[in-house]
Amino acid sequence: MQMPDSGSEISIRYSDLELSRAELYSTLGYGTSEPQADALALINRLLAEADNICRPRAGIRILDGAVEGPRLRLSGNWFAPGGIISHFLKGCDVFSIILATVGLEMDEWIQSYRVSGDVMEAFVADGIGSVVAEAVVDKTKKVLAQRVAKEGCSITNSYSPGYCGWHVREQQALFALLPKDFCGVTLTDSSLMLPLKSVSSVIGIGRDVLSQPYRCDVCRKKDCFRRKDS
Amino acid sequence: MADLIQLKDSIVKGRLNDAVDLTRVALDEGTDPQLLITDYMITAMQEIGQKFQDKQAYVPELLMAARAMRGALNLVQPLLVGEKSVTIGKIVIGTVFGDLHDIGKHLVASMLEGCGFEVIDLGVNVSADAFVKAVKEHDADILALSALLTTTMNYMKTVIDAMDQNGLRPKVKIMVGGAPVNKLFADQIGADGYSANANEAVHCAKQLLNIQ
Ligand code: B12
Repeated sequence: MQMPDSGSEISIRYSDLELSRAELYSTLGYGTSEPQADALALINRLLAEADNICRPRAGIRILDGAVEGPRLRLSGNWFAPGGIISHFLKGCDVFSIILATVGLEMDEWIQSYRVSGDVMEAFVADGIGSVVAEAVVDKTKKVLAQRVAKEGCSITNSYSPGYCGWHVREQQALFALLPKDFCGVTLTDSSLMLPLKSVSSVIGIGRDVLSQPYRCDVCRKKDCFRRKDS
Repeated sequence: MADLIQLKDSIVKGRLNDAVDLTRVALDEGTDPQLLITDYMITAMQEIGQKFQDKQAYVPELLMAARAMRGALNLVQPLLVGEKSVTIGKIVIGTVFGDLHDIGKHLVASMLEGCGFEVIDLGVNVSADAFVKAVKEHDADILALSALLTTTMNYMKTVIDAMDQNGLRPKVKIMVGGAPVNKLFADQIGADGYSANANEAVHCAKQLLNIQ
């Protein structure tokens, strides 16, 4: 079994990411329609800029732990991710914390469109940032899956503070388990990660674990605009 | 003659360049700037807002329209300086202290502006004191608060309490929003209005001020 470690960054490039245009359009709220000429030109221009600017970063820490009822222990620290998430992590005694970010450069690029005043440009740049952040998470999960496969293990889905009854405030305790300035991400007192387009997650590792569908299937946020089953 | 129906149309369709060109021609011909705003630009935003409400348009289409409107408005506004205020209400908006999320608030601000409100955007990470100061200074009709995390939305209550302590609460309506906020939370903290998206925010604001 994979030994606990103290956490390290993985090497990741923008060109490694699987970015889907369909995902971007759905994030931007284009239900079944597609962008018309003017909007498409704007989107293409910003995508090309993003390609030049983005320096994504991600890291993985593997630690021992356990699930007891609705509670999760990671190394010596206890968390309260709630019943839904605990259910999916049950049975694992090794876990991973992953941190994924689009990086400071892209956050600053988005910020530049926030202040420039063109609301559509700001919206598209922000949407690209969100899609890239998710793609960095996906890539990091693949790297982790490959790493543990060598030991005959597989991984669960990823679960983040702030989802499914896990209070976002527990980001503080989670970050206490990561090296200082890990991947260049910092946490504010209000539990906000900077760069803004960053994601933290916990993943279970084990011999018989399955990656169960997560977000839309078990989430109670019925009015979420990204909900897949509505 | 500038085709003003086409001006309205170009805003609805989100064609920035057309909207700007047509506005320029109209102004060169001496069309009343105020008339351009009320009869064509705001009408255009109402039309696209209705389409959105009827699910015939999506958020980006709403924003392309708001963008075209902004471009046209940039030409018209300088001509209105010194004239009596032409807005239907003044709104101070900001993302509360501890939170740096901007885009949701930005969308709400531009829809409100597009539909005839004057919007003073204080940006992100705004303290209760700064909200109090701005509401006083601008004599705002509505205060609009945004947050994206459950950890930061509680600060909305702090802002509402500060309005109370400064005697501003009876004078200003307060509306709140953002991903983790819902109607229940809005009621609990004593806000006057809540809406889940930028278009409904316009209806909410109009309702709060008893505007048709
Ligand atoms: C895209 C997304 C991300 C992206 C980008 C994040 C970002 N915001 O930039 C990524 C993948 C990076 C991400 C990360 C995280 N996310 Co996230 N994310 C979302 C998602 C799916 C959409 C957010 C978005 O950008 N919407 C588009 C904008 C335009 O919408 P909006 O900001 O909500 O604004 C609209 C309305 O709310 C309203 N509105 C907004 N303000 C106002 C103000 C007034 C007055 C009114 C009337 C209306 C109004 O009108 C706006 C326009 O229509 C939401 C879920 C959802 N469906 O909302 C979760 C969500 C915001 N995320 C959430 C969480 C928990 C996180 C993380 C903490 C997870 C983690 N542990 O890593 C991190 C935090 C990142 C950080 N910096 O700390 C939670 C937050 C709630 C909470 N528990 O605190 C949400 C709500 C999901 C959930 N659990 O339900 N996230």
